[in-house]
Amino acid sequence: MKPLEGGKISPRQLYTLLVLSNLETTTSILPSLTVAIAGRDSWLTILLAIIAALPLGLLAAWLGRRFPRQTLIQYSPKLLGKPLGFLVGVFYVWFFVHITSLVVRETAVGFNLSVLPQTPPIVLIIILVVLSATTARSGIEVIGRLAESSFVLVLFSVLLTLFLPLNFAHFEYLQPVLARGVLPLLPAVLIPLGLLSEFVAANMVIPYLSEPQKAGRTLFFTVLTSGTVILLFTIIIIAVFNQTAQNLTLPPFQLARIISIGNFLERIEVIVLAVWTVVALIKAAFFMWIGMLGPAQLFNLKGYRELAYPLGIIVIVLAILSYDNFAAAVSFYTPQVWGVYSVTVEIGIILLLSALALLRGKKGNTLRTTEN
Amino acid sequence: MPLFIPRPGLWLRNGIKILVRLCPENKIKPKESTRGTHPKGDDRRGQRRPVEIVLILAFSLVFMLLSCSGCWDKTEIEDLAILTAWGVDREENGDILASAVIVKPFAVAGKTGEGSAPPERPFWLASSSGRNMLEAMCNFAAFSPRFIFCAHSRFVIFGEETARQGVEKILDFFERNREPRLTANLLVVKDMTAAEFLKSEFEMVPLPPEGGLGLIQNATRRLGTVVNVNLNDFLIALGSEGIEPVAGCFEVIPKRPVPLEGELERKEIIQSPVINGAAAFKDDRLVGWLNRTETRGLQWIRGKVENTPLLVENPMAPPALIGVEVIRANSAVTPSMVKGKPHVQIKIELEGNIEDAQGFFDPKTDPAVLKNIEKRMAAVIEKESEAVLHRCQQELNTDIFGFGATFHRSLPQTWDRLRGNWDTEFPRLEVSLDIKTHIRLSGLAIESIKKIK
Amino acid sequence: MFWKSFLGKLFFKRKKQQRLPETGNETENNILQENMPSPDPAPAASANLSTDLDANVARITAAYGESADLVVREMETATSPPIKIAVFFIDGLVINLAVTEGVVAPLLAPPAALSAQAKPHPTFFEAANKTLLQIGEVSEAQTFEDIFTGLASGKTAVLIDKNSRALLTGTEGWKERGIEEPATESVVRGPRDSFAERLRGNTALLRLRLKSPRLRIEEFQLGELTKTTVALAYIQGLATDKLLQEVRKRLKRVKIDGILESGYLEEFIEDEPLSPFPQLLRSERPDRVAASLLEGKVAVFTDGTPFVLLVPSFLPEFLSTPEDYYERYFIGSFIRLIRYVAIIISLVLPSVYVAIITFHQEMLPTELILSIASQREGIPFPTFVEAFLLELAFEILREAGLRLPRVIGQAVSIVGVIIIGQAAVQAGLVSQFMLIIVALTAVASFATPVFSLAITMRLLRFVLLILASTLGFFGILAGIYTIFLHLVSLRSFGFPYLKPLGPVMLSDLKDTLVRVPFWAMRTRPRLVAPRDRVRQAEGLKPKPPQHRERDDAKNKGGDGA
Repeated sequence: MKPLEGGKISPRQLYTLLVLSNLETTTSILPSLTVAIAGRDSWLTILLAIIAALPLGLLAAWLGRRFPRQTLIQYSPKLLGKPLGFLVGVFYVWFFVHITSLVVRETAVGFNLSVLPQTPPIVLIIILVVLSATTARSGIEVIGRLAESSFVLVLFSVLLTLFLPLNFAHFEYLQPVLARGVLPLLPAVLIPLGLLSEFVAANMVIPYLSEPQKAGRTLFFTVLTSGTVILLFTIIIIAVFNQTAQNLTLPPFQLARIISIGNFLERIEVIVLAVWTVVALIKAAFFMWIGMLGPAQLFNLKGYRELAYPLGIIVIVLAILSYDNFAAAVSFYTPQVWGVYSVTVEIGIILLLSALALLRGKKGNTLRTTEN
Repeated sequence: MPLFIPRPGLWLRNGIKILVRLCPENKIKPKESTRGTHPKGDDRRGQRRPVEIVLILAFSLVFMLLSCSGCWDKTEIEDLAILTAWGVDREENGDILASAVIVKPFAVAGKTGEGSAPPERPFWLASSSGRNMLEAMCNFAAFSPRFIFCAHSRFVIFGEETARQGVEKILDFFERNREPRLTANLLVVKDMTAAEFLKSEFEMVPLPPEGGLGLIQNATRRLGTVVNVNLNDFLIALGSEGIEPVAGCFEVIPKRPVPLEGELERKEIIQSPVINGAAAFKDDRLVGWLNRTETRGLQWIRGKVENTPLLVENPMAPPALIGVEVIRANSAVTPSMVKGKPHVQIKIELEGNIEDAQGFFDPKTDPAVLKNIEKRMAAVIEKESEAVLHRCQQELNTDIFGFGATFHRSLPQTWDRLRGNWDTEFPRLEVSLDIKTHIRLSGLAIESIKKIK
Repeated sequence: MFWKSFLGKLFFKRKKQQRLPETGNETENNILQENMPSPDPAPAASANLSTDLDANVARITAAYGESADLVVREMETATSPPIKIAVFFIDGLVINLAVTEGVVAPLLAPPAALSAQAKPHPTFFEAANKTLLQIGEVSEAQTFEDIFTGLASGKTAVLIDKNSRALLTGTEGWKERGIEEPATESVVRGPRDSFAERLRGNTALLRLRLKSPRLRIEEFQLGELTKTTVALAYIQGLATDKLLQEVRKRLKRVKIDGILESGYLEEFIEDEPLSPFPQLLRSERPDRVAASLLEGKVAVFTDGTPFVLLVPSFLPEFLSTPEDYYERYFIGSFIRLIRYVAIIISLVLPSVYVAIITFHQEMLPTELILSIASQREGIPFPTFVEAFLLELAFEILREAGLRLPRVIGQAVSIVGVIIIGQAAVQAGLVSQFMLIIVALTAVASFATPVFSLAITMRLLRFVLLILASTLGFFGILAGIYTIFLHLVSLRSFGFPYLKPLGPVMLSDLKDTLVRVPFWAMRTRPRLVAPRDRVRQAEGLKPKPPQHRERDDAKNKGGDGA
């Protein structure tokens, strides 16, 4: 039997893929979510989240390396038994499909808020989904290359939006540190943690890594890099907008709008738009690939590429239904709802499976099977 | 309607597929030979077809249809009324009167043309009223044949009366709407309504916003007696505790008509604005004007002076003046509690060059003279700073310096106690000044022209 | 006779269909092709020559019908018994002197020693081959097929009675275009020669540059009627076997009546027939082909065209020129970067302009928006239509100027650019800005060194224009993303088309966006098998001597420096 996915991906491609995925939320809504709760101390919550996510990343890589020929969907029944393992797989897949729909929706809304107020969001959503579904059906190899090739350009644009507004920044706005103590911050940690922990997507990719022994290092640096970018974004947004940052829906976009160097280098928010689009498409493609490969493995299908457009329709519907208006979005993206939900699915599954793997001493077949 | 979009793509794709199949030459599929050529040699691409090309063709076809129907956010540039400055007043019934400077592109360009048409004023001044900013802006549509487009507005200008009544309700529009930018300058007009003010014209530049911007930049760089405040600064001050906003100040000095000479057919400018001083707010209300000295005092304390002339008495020839151009100035505000009372220490450091010396001046004969001048400079700065401190603490009771915020930053626990009654604490706040001045260069000459005492 | 020729034709046709896959490698092969896989032996026996000379002659003349350029010379030797000989050649393709003195004369008057013991068949045939014919290249032919091919390539066929074999003598010689400067890839610094139409001359130019016997040239014959010779050139050891086999496989698959240009082949052997991007680089410069072979590529020569296909090709190579390597590396890198900028401009500039003007007016500086708005005042078309029409007009002008003789072509561009452009602006049909944009785009697209890629960009530019006019930057980004996605998934002979930008290969980036100096290019690109990757010795970076040598002779050896 042919393997479902025949592509290979290098650790560097996985790294860029995961970092770009994290950048998507970073450059759209994440800063406003944390700043809304933790105020000027939100950069600390991100620091905490990075510290928490680093060992988890290593754990996820360890788990994946224990079953080097299998994806999470395939080894969870081995660890949990068939019905429970199946259920975990379903949750895992659902989570990524859900994120895809949120990503698509956020991007469409972002464009609605910034430059295309009249365009119906559904048009943008459909275009984004069709493009990402097309990417996803090309397989992980193409997705990986796409991420790798656009990485430098995207990172450069992101850093540009970060450093050009520095002449408006007042770093004294970051003080006082911890005026309200650490406790009120803790719930806010869940949101960046939930974002950083999207590295669990790697547990679907590790079997397709060209150098699986580098998985741990890859995830470690993924968390470190995207954590740093989130941290920088948060710090600079607070330094530029102070408390009003709590009030902004799209702080990175506002950050780019405020750029004005001399009288000529200004009005370059299009950079943020470009980053949004590219990064959202890559993230959606990657997670849709998980959403296609996952069910194909859950139900032992012969191929997964055929699922691309049907899944696309599901994503479109989900994106439209995900929330009704901005108030619903605001109440959805809280630590209590979104934070708990994402962290439970991502970290919960990893912790559960790792613990079981350790306790029951199960290991995957490290030998190269004939089918591969 | 958008739900129909993916279909043409599908049709096209199927159509192309069928066409490709129909062509007899294409029965040979070159792609099959792709297999096994990859270094790793497998048929991972077996099921992939070049959907991208078909996709992009389909999209472009659909979009061509859509774009012909003039869809959604598309606006031709010539259908825009490009607004470059907002003036906001309140009418007597509380309605908002929004005035706008709308540029006429054809008239701007006309100045380079053959000039067959009579010269036209390059902007259009229009006002519209409504119960809030949004309504006022939309009401423009009733009489403006072109779509009001305010992404290029550089100014938000309030009339004095309006500013005294409070501006918060007006500013929300500017923060929320996607078109105006937070980098627009915020100014208040002294003794005038904004609508009236916008009628003024500038020398040298045809467009008022360009002129206004020039004034602000020029005055900030050379004069130092103005504040350069944009919407973002204002909103931050408005939204943070322990600091009150300030805004720039325009005033109009009527000119007496003077017969012009040497200029051809140039209409005389009757009303031309002057930028000076600053408007001190308490919360969102204007409470008082700072004059030039006070404004510079404020800028010393905030450390925002860029370049400014500082005149001191010549110690070697007392009534004569020495002009020092300040080229760099910094300040640091340190809050502390002294005997249970809030206290701030302000450290001001600055550097300057002597650019103008009258009377006998010869630093070579008396090296201490520079020290003396530095001391006198410090005295001037102290005087100015104290003036503005006195004004704000005793008369206006508004913490435009952000002393409260420094307490909040450095002594958060203390601030928790002070926060509630900062209004009563602020006037009693003890301020000590520590001014260090330094003269670096003396221009291209050392001594003054006059050698003999 | 009629019956015979009819049969022959019928026969001929059927035979051809059967034989086609095996053709190639039957003609003279290069002596160096020792490890080339031998083609399938044993062609159909029915196509062989018969021992009856008259029948053979009849068949050949019948095959050519009444073709006026076929010369048949039937003669007999002056020996006893006389041996019947027939000589065939095609007038105009041979050097007449060579035929007369090298073929006809020695056969007619064999030396006395030979004529004394002259017997017809095998002996005389062997003698003719070994001792008589005074021609450098003589080969044997067994089938009519070989004879036809040989005749068409300027050989003279010698048929001897009672022999079912023929001799093909290399008497080729025809009027040929000389070596001229390349028309499409001109350089300021670098060699000026370019390939011409004839294959042999082209391979000779290559052989002159790569003198090692490891340069291998394999030939195929493709095209049922044209019998075009297609040659593969590669350096043995550098081009991987996998690649070679793949190229051979794809070439042999081609069954077509004629191949007149390498473009025919290109469309048969490329990976993705539906892609708008050129997947094989073509070049008419021997130096470029040689450089490509040194990087482990395979060159596909086609007889009759100066354009050689380089297999595999990658997108970044379409943006490099040989001159990048001949100028110093700073200049080479800078020019190459400029080309990247130019190609991006030629792809997106009009669409970005339309998107900004119709969707994102806030992104322009105020002065600029005012000046554009004042120019747009009174123009009857929407910006998109204006851009589309002007781009279209430019394409028409370009095409018109290209096809006309050079002198008239210039007149076209003058009329088009100056008169139409100026008049259109004055008549208020288009704005000056749009004219600037279109002109800039046009200039930028001329900066793309490979014409086929420039055309692709022009095509995609229209697509992006439509996208931009519908959804502004979102549309452009969606379009660029799609193009990018397509490029990333494209392959050229199994290698990623965007290499080394597609999967990023850090070691190959040295010769992509910039060109590093030669001494830093220690390795060949990742096309070559790892063992053959090193291309130069280590430590070639020039180092000035540690101590300066003094000019004056006195100090020579003085302080031992």
